[in-house]
Amino acid sequence: MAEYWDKFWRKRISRRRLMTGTALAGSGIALGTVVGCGGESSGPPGGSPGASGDSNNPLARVEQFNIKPNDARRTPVWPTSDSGKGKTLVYIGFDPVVLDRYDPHQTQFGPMYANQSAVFSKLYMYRSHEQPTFENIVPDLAEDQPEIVDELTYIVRLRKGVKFHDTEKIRSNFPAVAGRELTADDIIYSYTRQANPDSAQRAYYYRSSQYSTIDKREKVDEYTLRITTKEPTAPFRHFMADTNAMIIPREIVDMENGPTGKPWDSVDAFGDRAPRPGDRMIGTGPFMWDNLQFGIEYVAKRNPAWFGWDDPSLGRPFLDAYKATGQGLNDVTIQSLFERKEIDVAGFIDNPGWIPDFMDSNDVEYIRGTVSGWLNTRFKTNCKPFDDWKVRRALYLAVDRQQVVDVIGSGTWVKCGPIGPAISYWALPDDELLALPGYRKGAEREADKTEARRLYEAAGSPELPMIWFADVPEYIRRYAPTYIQSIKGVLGFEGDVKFQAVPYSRIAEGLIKDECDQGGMTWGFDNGWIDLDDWCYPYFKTGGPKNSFRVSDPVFDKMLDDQRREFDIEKRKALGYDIQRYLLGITNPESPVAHARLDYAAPGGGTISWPYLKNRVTFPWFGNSQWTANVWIDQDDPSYSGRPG
Amino acid sequence: MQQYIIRRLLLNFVVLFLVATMIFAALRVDSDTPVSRRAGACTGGGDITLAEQCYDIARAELGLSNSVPRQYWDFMSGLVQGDLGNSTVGNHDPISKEIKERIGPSVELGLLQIVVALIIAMPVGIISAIRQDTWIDYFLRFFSIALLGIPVFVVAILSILLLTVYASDTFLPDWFGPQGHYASLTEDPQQNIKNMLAPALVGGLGTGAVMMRFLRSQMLEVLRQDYVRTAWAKGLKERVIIVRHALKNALIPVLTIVGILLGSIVSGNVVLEFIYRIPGIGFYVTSAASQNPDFPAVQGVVIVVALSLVFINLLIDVAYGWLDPRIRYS
Amino acid sequence: MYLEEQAGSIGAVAAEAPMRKRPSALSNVWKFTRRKPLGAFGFFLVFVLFVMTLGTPKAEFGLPSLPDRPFGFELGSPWLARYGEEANFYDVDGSLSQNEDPSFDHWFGTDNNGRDMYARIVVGARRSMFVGFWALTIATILGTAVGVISGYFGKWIDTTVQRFMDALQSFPPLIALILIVTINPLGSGPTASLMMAAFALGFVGITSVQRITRGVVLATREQQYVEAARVIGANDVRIMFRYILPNIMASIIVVFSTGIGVVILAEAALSFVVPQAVPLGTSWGLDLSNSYTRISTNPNPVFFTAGAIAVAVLAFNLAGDALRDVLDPRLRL
Repeated sequence: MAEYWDKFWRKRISRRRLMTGTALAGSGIALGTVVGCGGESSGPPGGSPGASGDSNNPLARVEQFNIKPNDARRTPVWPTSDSGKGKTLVYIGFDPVVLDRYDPHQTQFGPMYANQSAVFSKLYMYRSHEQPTFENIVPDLAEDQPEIVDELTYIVRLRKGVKFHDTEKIRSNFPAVAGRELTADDIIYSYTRQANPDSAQRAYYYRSSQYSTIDKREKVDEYTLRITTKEPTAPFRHFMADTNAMIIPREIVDMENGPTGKPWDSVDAFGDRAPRPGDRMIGTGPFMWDNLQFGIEYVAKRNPAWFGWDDPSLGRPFLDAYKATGQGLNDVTIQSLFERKEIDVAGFIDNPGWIPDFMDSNDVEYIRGTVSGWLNTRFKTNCKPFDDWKVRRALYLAVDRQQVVDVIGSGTWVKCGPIGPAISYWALPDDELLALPGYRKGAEREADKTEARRLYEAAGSPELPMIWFADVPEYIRRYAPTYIQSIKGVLGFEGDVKFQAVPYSRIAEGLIKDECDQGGMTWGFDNGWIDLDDWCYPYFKTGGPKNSFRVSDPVFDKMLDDQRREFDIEKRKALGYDIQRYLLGITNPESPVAHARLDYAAPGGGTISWPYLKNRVTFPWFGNSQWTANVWIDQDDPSYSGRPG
Repeated sequence: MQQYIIRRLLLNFVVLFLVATMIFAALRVDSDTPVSRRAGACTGGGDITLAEQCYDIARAELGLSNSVPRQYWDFMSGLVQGDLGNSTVGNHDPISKEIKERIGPSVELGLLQIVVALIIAMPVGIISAIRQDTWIDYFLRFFSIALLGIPVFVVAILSILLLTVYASDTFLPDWFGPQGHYASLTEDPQQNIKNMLAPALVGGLGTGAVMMRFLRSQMLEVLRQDYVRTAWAKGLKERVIIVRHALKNALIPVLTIVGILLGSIVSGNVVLEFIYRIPGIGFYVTSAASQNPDFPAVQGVVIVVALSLVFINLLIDVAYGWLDPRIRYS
Repeated sequence: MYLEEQAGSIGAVAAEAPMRKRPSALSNVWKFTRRKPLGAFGFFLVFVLFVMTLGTPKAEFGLPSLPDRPFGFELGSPWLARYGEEANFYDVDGSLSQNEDPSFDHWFGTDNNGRDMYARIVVGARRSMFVGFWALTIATILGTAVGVISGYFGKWIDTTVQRFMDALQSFPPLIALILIVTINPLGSGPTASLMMAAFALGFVGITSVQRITRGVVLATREQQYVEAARVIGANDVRIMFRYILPNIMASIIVVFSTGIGVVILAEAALSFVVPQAVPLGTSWGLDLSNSYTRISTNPNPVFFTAGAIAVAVLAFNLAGDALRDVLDPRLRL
């Protein structure tokens, strides 16, 4: 990371000398969300000593703004007068871009979680991802932390008087839901639905493996339910706070018969069935679904009858509405919009090059962090040449992760191990990861290259099959030629390496088929996860739902099961480290699990906001927009002057 | 004349029928892409039979599970009743509603471009013609050739580059750069002007150059006519000759260009809408055709565009005959 | 410089008396340059662009494919490119030379992947030029065929064909392009899809080409020499090829040369607006869309690629305009 920025800064100064007096503006494309993706992490891995000492390095200067969640500055402040209420928050984000379905239990598209998370509530929610303990998985619809009777039984008590949204439109579309009180039945319905083997939509319940760990869901009374799991499941508390754990009313689901003859069982009423999916977005959250215009804007309106967590007297949410406008603007425009206060928050994936200058003359808050999501390569380990551990390890060592960071991530991304660095609690510490072969720099990197070549030649210098690169985001296929060239250089491979840009659906299709000519080696972006279990269990467990690698290692299976049974969070963390070391080939490089997946880098970036915007929190994953309930715009703040609207 | 109009109207419906059939057929050649996009990364948890289900569900949602003739019948009978179908992505709104929302910005931008083009072309074309082969003529012609040659989208990008990199401290990017959000003229006139100013200018410059060249050559032709010479001989003032005698006659072909432009504004200017973030019809249909395939949307937009194009063409031809009595339709 | 000579000689034949000595090609070029200095400048730019695409031919034959085998034989990397278009440059410390300013080593600077922008523009010219060439070849062949048949036979054939053409013309062009490129019956793979892009661009151009040729055919059909040919018993095919086609050749050449500029622009615009719809490779439009979002970090690639597109389009427009003035002044495009 340091080299990129040192160079950037040097050049910036020299360029400035050339264009005297002109401010070089600019930074990357938007990932600007108020509460959503792009949030805090415990700082960049390897906050390299060289970088922080250099006063010219912009990242060194913004380091101090990298606020940790338990920091005092993160403690919410409440408005004292009416000048802290009302107004519409505006930001640029992916929220209006919806490439997936509307159903809260079926979508796996981040921006959609973000929109839904402010509309639908869950039993529990994350307050921070730093420590996934009781302290940070806090009650949302539940009254308090679950009462754990034994390792199998959870008793959850609900808040009383929680009401579903109520507007004119909802009253005419769904008279039975409008303003109805939420009861234990709704939770049982939402949890049963996602594990229902008879549903016509069964294939689309992406988290059904989480809900199939449940044995029984029993209603004790209207506000109490008892959940029993089949086996001790340590991550179960996380399941109740996970992104698809939203509680929806039964009535909004279209249960008319679909073309398969079964009830349709989806919120996405198809064809001309009324009401429209957007009109079915009825939950108990702080904001109500208003309007989503694809690619243009998404608007959510205040829910005046929201239950208000532990303190309804505060009158949250403070905002009248929030509005996310389409992404795709270029870097200069984003800066200019932020400067004019037409947007309250600006987000970036690319260079925050203009931030340091901007912070010199303006009092703004910059939060930097890493996104939970990463670039990786998957091998089918039953196919040649990847059935040979030496080939996999050779490629693992040959990949120049620093180059991925510099080219795709403009130096703001970070190298990534088997668990994304954004999930700082579970991820292998940077001190250890960045010193490993394949991740290290300088002279040691040269040793890795030599070793890669040796292993590759030892395996008989096999040809590589066609590599499938994902066609979105654009940067992946643009990087493809550079990637292939650097791999060929390190391995000393002279022949042609073919590659192709294909859509994710095709990759997914190729991965589940057994043929080796389809998706034998793929290169793409994967959604990040929250809990240790999400990152490894579905991927590497024998027969797991995401095990496209065809790996089966009894030793590793046992490790995966052990972490599920370990309720002590510190001990579980240690087990997680062992799992990652195993995946990185430290424990047993010849295991089929080792290097079945190559992990490259995770997106980094930051968001900048004006000080009049209060209580902003950010998360490394999408789906935390309920926290917008705390956000308010302080019209008395000096920085507020000049904000239009 | 009446017969001619009736004949043209009938032919227009034939053309529309052909357009509808062609776009329907073109989309059905590859109906797997939208299905697999809709299915997303659904793998049915690695279970191949479940994964097949993902595709069945997606196909049903997109209305592609019926046989192609059946789909064609549904589509055509819907068209006859004026129903363009429902979007297959997002909120599944009726296409007619989506088009209604987006057609405004496109038409506004198109009209503004024509206005800008006329404002530039009229005086420049006339001056360039009556001062033929003087330095001002050469200067103006050079500009028009340069504007003709350099594509509109390059002009747009270069102007943004210059504005934002070299004039970032001034008010210019605020007014001439891409805007964060769009507001219609009735919602927020000032914002609307900001949205439209730059694309109208950039687009208008390009079309203005075409018009200017046309007007110039027409003016030159007309200025050499006998009746203009007669007017000079009568001792009329230059202004009168140019405005009354020459310009009136030279304008007719320019009207044709305006007509062609009017016909094309419904389809929107994709590149300018894309660069300046104007939620118009071109932007809409481009993303509906590529990023997130939405068959009914593409079909609907193509049909609406064709509809307006053929009828505006008819109107122009009729107006043409009315303006120029020499033209007779039979 | 085939076109230029053609331009000169056709113009000369039309203008001069048959008894004079046939002027040399060089003097024709000189005459053209003097009469149409801007047009000559356009031809010069076209020539430069053409030279940019040239590389050492290799004895490897096959179907024409883009960009390396544009005419059926393999062309090596362009002579004018200093480096490979995908070569990555590294600093002394081993990191990529990203976003460098123009220097002696990199005349146009480097892009975000540490590649030489000058090399990318030279290699990108190949794609633009050949897509333009192939698209116009397809458009003129198909468009002329349609126009000649429709104009020559007239009656119900003309009416039917023209209604189809009306229908085609009322498609928004960019949508037609995207649809053809995404349908792509030639199968996947970069070469096939690039030929497809050329085909799509050509297909969209058919309507305007056939409109022009049909107009010329309608006018020549009634000429006396055509009637004479019919009287001596020439069949329709012979009349079309021997008597009508030579007459519309001048218009076709003008349409061809002007059209290339339009196609280059369309290809660039398509790649810029929907990069995911066009095949991978070194392309001005793709490079532009790539660098556009980083415009403030590094404006150089935006400036140079946009400039290259502008120069190419301008060159073909100037050349086409001058050709039209010389060959077929009445032609309205």
